[in-house]
Amino acid sequence: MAKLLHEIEWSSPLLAVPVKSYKQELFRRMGPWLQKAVLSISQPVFFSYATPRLIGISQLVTSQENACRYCYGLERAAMKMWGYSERRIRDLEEEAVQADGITRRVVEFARKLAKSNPCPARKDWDALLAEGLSSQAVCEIAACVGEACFTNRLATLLALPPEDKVERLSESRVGRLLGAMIRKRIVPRRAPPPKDFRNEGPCAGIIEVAGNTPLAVWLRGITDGWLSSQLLPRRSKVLMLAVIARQLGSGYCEQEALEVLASEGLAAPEIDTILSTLSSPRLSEAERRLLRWTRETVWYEPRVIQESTRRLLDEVGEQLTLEAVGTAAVGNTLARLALVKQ
Amino acid sequence: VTPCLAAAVGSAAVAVGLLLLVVSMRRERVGLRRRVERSAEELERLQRSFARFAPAELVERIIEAGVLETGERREVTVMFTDLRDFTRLSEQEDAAVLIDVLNGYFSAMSGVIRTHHGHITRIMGDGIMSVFGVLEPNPWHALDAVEAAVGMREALDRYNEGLRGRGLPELRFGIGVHSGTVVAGVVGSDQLLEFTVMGDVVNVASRVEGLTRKLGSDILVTDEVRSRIGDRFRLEERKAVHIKGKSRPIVTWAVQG
Repeated sequence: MAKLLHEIEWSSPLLAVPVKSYKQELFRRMGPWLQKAVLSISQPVFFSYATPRLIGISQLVTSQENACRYCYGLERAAMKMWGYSERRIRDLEEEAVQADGITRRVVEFARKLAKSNPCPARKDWDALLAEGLSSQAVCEIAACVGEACFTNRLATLLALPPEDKVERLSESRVGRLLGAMIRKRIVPRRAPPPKDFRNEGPCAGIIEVAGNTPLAVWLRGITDGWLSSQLLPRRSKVLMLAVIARQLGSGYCEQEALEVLASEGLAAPEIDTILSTLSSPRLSEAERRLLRWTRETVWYEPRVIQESTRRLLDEVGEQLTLEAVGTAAVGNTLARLALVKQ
Repeated sequence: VTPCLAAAVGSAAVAVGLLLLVVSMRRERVGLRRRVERSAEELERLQRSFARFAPAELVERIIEAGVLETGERREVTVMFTDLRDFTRLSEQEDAAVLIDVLNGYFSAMSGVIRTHHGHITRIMGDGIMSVFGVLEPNPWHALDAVEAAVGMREALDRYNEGLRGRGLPELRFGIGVHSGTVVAGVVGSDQLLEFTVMGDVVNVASRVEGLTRKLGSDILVTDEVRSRIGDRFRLEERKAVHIKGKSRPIVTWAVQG
């Protein structure tokens, strides 16, 4: 059962940096690909096929399902500034019983995909089509959930301090008035579908789930940036992806990961041993530690995973931890989206 | 003038009536909201109390989907833990001290079990039955169970230090671990419901725990567990023994660390 905002337990920030400059300092210490990813998620989501309302709702319920105190608080504030009443938001948070058919279906789908226990089934996808959404719009909603999973994990694992000021502002009339004025900056933004988008490279089969949408372009860019980063060996990163896939029962994603690992020189039996026992003489101590931490990033209580990430930081250092956090964010997005193909 | 006055008075009366109606409706709404809030608080309180009697995740799953009410087949690892010579201890010690010692022990053990993704499904006297991989998919359930067992050994050592300091006798336990398919679900009547797992795996895990004293080890795992954990632990083979309900003798492994 998804928690409400006040029920989420949240730790102090991961890095020992003053709270006021925490985000800037974190950003400065991130690798280039992660910096780029953070910049991209700081903007409103671009969409071409779904409606801004459905995109906003998907983001809200995904953040709630992932118990991300930071994103959930912000999404809630954005919806209030956007004109949603507290009652309507509460309804979305509590199973959307009052909502119309399509909203309810989107809420159910987003929750199921975000949680992935049990996995979303073909019928969940078909239910959205039956409500009159185009297949590209459904792809867009799935990708939006994926994007929110990415953002939620970054914010949770790094224990970003909640944006209290923005949340408080949304409670006031002035805030709602301001919201109406800065609508463009908080509401998902419509954009034309990408032209000549080429989804080529590792995990292309998974990214296909996002269709031909601006979010597919975003996901392709994030995946390529992540894989080409040198801060963590490619083998370690893809093993982390495979661990997430194994935990989620995402066979399609695991297969994609195995193909990349094979090109890295790891034989199938060895990969199987690693994935079955999270250990192997061929793994470095840091890799073993990372794989064990990675499995915790699939389902978690925020405070518990934040403490676990703090221990990881002590053991493997800041640079590897930040890369690992980015990897867990990408991995959880890809493995969840791949579930839709099963 | 009189009809005008009458109309004005009439309008005013209607306006006052409407105002009173609005005020009364608003009051009713506020009252209703307060009642709903009180009910929600009560529900939350009940949920918190219930969570102490059953795993919180389990409570959530039952409330959410009622999946386990219908029963599900799951690949899991079952772990039985039993205190040795506790009956003798219970005859010697004061009842209050005994309960205190036992609660401290359960608290220490349940923390380790939870950390390793296990769920305590039953406490039987001084025994604990816990299951790994039952509430959410867990491909590493056997690994988690053995790690939990080793962690419990360390936790017991720490707990015993405290008991020694209080002049109380130390505790010793035996742990049996076995993996396989079980049926998981909520069973019982409307008076008493219990979440449990059933099947041969449970019986074997319990019997293996019973072998710990005979085979001279505090933690014993079966071949089924060993095949799932790779070379993460130092294991020592014990001689094959017959257990009740099995036609063939079973091989167990002592976990050294």
